[in-house]
Amino acid sequence: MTQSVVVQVGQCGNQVGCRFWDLALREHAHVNKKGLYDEALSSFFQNVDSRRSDGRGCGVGGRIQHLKARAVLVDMEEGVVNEILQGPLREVFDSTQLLTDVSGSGNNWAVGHMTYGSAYREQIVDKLRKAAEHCDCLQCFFLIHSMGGGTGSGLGTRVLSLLEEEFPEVCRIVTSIYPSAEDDVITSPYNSVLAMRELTEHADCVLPVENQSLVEIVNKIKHMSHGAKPGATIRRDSTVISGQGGLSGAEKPFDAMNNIVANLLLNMTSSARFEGSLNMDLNEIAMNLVPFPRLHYLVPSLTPLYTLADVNVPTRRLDQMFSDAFSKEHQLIRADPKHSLYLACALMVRGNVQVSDLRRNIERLKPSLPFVSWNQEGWKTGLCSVPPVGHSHSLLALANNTCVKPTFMELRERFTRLYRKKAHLHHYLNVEGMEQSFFSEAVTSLSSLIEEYHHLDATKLKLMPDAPRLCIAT
Amino acid sequence: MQRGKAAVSVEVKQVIAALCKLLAATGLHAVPAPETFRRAKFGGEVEVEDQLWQLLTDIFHTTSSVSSAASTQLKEASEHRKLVAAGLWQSGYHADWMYVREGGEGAEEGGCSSRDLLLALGWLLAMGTLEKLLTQRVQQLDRTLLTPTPVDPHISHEVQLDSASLRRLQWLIGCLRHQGRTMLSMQEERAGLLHALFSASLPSSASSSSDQSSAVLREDCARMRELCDLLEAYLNWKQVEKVFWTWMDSVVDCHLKEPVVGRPTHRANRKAAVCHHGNRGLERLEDMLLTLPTLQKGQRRGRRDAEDRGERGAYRARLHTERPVRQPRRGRGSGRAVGFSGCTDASSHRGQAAGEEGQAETG
Amino acid sequence: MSVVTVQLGQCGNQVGHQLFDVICSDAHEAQRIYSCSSCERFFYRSRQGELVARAVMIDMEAKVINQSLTKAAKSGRWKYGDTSYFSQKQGSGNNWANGYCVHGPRHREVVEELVRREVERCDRLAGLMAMMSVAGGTGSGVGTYVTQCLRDIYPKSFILNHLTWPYGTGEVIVQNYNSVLTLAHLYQLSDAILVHENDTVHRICSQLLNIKHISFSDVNTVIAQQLGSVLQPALTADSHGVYSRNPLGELVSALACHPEYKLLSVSSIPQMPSSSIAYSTFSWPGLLKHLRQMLISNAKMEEGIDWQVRPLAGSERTRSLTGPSFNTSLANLLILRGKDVYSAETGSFEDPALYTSWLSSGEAFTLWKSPVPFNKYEKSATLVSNSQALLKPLDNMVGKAWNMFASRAYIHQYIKFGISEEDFLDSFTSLEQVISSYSQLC
Repeated sequence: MTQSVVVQVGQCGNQVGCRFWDLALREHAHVNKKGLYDEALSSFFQNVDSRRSDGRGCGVGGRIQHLKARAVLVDMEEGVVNEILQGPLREVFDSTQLLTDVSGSGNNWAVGHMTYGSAYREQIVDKLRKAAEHCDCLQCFFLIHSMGGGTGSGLGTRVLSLLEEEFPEVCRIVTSIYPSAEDDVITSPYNSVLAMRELTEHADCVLPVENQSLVEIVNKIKHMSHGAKPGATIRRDSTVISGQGGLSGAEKPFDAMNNIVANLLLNMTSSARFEGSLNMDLNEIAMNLVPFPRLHYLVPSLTPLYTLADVNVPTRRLDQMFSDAFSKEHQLIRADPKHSLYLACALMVRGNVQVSDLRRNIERLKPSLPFVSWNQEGWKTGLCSVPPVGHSHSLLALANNTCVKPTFMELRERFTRLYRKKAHLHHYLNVEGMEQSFFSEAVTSLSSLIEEYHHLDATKLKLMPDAPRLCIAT
Repeated sequence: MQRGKAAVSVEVKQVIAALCKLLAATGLHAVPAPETFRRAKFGGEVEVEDQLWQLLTDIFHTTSSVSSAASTQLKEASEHRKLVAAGLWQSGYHADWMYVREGGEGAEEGGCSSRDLLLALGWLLAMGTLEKLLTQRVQQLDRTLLTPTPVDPHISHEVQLDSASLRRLQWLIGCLRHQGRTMLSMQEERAGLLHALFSASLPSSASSSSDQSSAVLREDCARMRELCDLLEAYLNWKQVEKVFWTWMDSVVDCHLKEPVVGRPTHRANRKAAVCHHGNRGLERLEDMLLTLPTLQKGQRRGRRDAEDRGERGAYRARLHTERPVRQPRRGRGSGRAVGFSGCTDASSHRGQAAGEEGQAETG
Repeated sequence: MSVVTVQLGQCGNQVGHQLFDVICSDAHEAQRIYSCSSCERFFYRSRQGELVARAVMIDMEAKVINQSLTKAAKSGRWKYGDTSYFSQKQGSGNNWANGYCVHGPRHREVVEELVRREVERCDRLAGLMAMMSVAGGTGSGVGTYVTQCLRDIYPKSFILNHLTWPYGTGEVIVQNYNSVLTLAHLYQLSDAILVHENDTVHRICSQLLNIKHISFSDVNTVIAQQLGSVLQPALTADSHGVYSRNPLGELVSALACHPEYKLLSVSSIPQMPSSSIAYSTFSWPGLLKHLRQMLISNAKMEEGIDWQVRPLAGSERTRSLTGPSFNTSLANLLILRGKDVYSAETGSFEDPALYTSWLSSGEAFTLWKSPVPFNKYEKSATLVSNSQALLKPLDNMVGKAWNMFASRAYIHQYIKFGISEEDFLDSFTSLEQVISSYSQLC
C-alpha cells in the first residue's frame, strides 16, 4: 500500500484541507469497526505511539494509538492554523507539521513566491522530507491552495516547484481554487496568471475548482432543502456538504463549499485506500488522462450532489448518477464539457456498482460526448467497493476537456485589463527577485496553453481521417 | 524472394554466427569467430588465414575425406595445407593456389588469400559437407537409433519455393522443433526416473555403482541435449541459409572485381607466380587427361574406391567428374554457379578448353 | 508432467485463481486416474497433505494477491504456496514502460528464484504458462519482461501466454499502446498466445448465462472454465488410451508450429446457466454442428451464429472469394468431454475447405477426447483455433494505437521510462506483419 502526503498552503488551502481530514477520519471510522490501524488508514495517517520516543509511526496491523495526518500545513498568517490547533482536529497534527508567519502575503503572489519562498525554503523542504520519511512508499503529494490570494498562489506554487526538485519521482496532484470574477482581491488576476504558469510547468495534474461553481452548488442545495418538497428532502448528514457528525462543531461560512472540494479528494483517493474489483491507482490518473504534458488540467464533477440515493439502488437512479456527472450543474468549474472536446475521461466509482453498470452507461453516454479523433475510447474506470458515508454509491468524473479554455481566457482577459493600465504593478516589482518579465512570460505561457486547447478544439467538427497504416511488403 | 542488400548486411552476421554454431555443434574444434568470415571476405590478415586453414583441416579430418594414413602425421603447417588442397581437389574444387609446390614462391604464406580459403569453404558447404558432418555427429550422439537415417541432400530438388510451400516448410520445421523439445523433456524424465530407480534398488553402501549408473545417465542426458542442440542449430541454419549464399555471392563478386589481394610484400612476385601456377596447372591437367580413360569407370563409385586407387589418381578423377563449373548446384539458382566458376582462374579455363567440353563461359 | 503457472498483475492473478479453483473442483469430482493426472499437472501435495497450486503470483501491489491467497485458503480444497508470491507496494500505473523497463528488471532475481523453485518441484516440466492482461502496466509490462526471463532460463521449455484482452472501451485509456507493445514482444518469445477478449466473454455472461449484474469475477470464471476444459487431461490420438501428459507441448505442437501464426482463440459449447442444464439434452452431432458453424462464421458464442456462411469448394477458393465473413483456419484443436465421446463424429472438422491451402487437414486438425464430463455438462466441446478469428480485434487494436501514435499522444509517458518512438515503430511493424500474415490465410 502506498501513502500520500497532503500539503495545504494558505487560508483556503488549509480550510479545505481540514475538511478533508475531518471527512477522511469519519469515513475510516465508519469502515474500520475494529479499531485496528490497517492499510487503508496508513495511506493518509500515521499511527503514533506516544510511548515511543523516536516519534516514528507503528506498523500496520496494530491497534490505533494516535492517528496523525500525513500533512504539511503552511500559512503566512496565524489565524486559520491557530483555529485548527484549538479545534477538534488538533490531535491529528503536531507542531512539526506546521509552518506559519504573522504578517501574511498581502494578496501578492511575489511576496508569497519570492519573499516567503526564499525565507522559508529550508524549513519547508525539511518538513516535506520529514513527512516523506514517515511513508513506507510515498506515491503522491496533494497540494491544496487557492489561486487568488498571495500565500496560496505564490508560496503554494513555490512549494510545488520544491516538490518537483526534491521528489521528482513522486506524483504531484494540485487542487487549485480559482477566484470568482467579482473577487474582492483586486490583484487576483495577476496572482492567478502568475500561478498558472507554475502549475502548467510543474504539476502532474491540476484539478481546477471555481469558487463561483461552489457557491452556485451550495445555493442550489440550500434552496432545494428549504423548498421542502415532500419526498425530495436532503439528508443533512450527507458528507457532501454537511460537516455534521464530524469532529468539528458549528458550521462555518465556507464549510459547505470546502466540503465539496474535500469530497473530491476523498473520492479520488478512495481507490488507493480501499479495495475494489478494478483498482485505480493514483499514478494511473496522470498516465491515462494526460496525453500531452502541459495539458494536465482535469475538470472534476461530483455526483450525487443534489439528490441522495436510497440503500436500494434502482438502476434508473444509478444511471442518473452517470448522466449527472456530465451535466453542467455538476462540474466544479463553470464549463460545459458536453459541448467541448474530450481528450480523455476517468470515472471513479464507489459503492456497489458492477462492471456491467459501467459498461452500460459508457455505451449510453458515449454518443452524446465528443471525443478527440485519436481517443474515441478515452475512458478510464475505477471501481472501489467502499461507498462514501451515507451513500450507496458515488461517482467522480475527471475530464481532460477543452472546456477549461473559456475559464483560462476569462482569466487572461481580466489580467490584461489590469496589466494594460499597469495597475498595482509596483507592489509586485518592489519585491526582491520579481521582474516585469515574469508577467509577460506568465501570460505568454497561458496564451500558448489556450492556443493548444484551441488547436484541439478545431479538430472537433472536422472528420479526421485515420492515419495511414504501415504497409507490409509481401 | 530476392532480398535487398541492406537487409542482407544486417542479417549476415547473425547468419554466419548460426553457421559457426552449427559447425561447432557438429564436433569441429577449430571453428573461428563469425568476424573472421567477414575479414576473410576482404582478404584479411595472416591470423584470419590461419584460422581458415585450421577450419578446413578440421573439416577434412572429421569427415575423413582424405586417407587417414596421410592425415595423422601431419604436423607442420605446410602439411596441413597439403591436406586441405588434397581434400579440396578430391571434392572437385580447384583454384590455382592449390598447386603451389612446397617451398615455391609464396608458399610460406600459403600462396593464397584468406578469401580464397573462404571461397573453398563455400564450395565445401555447397557440396553437402555440412550434411555429412551432421549425419556423422548424429550417429555418434544418438545411440538409441537402430538404423541411422542418412540425410538425402537431394530432397530439395522436388520442392518448389513458392510462398505456400515455404510456409508449409516453416510449419514443418516448427513441428520438428516442438517434437525435439518434447523428446528432450521425455529423455530428461526417463533419466530422472532411472536414476531414482537405481538409487532406490541399490543398497546405500554400494554408492559407487549408483554413482556409476547415475554418471552413465548423466552422460546419456548430456548427449541427448547435445543432439537436440545440434538439430536445433541445423534448423536455425536452414532457415537463414539463403542469406549466407547471398553473402557468398558478394564474396565472389569481390573476388572477381579485385582478384589480386596480395600483401604488399607478395606483390612483387605476383606475376611470376601466376605464370608459374598456370604452368603447373596445365601440366597437371595434361597429366590428368592422359589417365582419363582408366579413371572414368571408377568415377561414380564411392570415395573409398577412389582412395584405394591411390590419392593422386582419385584427385584427378574427382577433378574430372566434379569440376565446379559443370556441377549443377542443387536448386540454388544460377547466380552462384557463375560465382563459383570465378574460383577457377584463367588457367583452369584454359584447362577446360583443352579438355572435353570447352564450357568456359557459363551463365 | 506439470505446468508451472505464473500469474501477473491484477487480471492475471484473478483469472489464475479462478482457473485453479475450476481445475480443483473438476478433478475433485472425477474418477481417480483423471483426478491424479489433473492434480499432477497443476498441484503438488504439501507435507501436511494439502493441495498446493504450482503457481507463482506476481504483482506490483499487494491487494489482489492477498485476496487470491485468502480465497484459495478459504476454499479448503487447495491453496497457494506460502511463499510463492511476490508483491510490491506501488503499481505500474498502467504504463507498460514502467513495468517493462523499471519494475521488471528491478525484481528480476526474486521472480526468477520463485519460478525456479516451482520448476524444481516438478518431476517433469511440461511447460510454463504466464497469465496476464495486456491493458494495464504490471500484467503487460512486467509480464512481458518476465516472459523474456523465462525464455532465457528455459529455452527448451514450452511457454504459453494466456492473455486477457481489454474491453474495447473503458478500462485503461492507453490500453492499445500497452497491448501493441506486449503482443509485439511476446510474439518473439512465446510459443503460443491464447487470447480471451473481455468483450466476448462479457457477452457470453449476459446472453448465454443470463447474468444481470456482471462482475469481473463472472467474466473471470467463464475464462477459467474455458481454459480448464483445454488444460484438463484428455486422450490424444497417439496417447494409446492413457491421458496425455504434456498439455502445453501438445497444444503448441498441434496449433502453433509456424512462427508467424501464434494467436489462439477458444470457444466452447454448451454454455448456459446451471439452472437450465437439468432441462437440456445434448447430442454430439448437434453440439459439433453448432461449434463448426461458430468456427467458420467466427461467432464466439452459440447465439447469433450466421448460418449463411459456407466454406467454398476448392475451385472457388481464391482470396477475394472467401470474403470477410468466412473464417479460415490454420489449425484447430477440438476437445470433447463427456458421455459417449467415442461415438462423436468429427469428420466435419477435417474438411480441407476449412483450412489454408498449404496445410493438409490431417496436419491441421487435432482431436482430444475424454469420457469425463466437464463443468456439469453431460457433453461439452471446446475448440482452440489458430484462425483469422482474432484478426479483426487485433487490427482494431493496432489501428487505434496507430491513430494515437500519429498524434504522438501519451508518448511522453513512455519516453519517461525509456521506451522510444523507435521502439513503438518496431512494435507496430511486427504486428502489421502478423496482421498481414493472418489476412493472407486462405
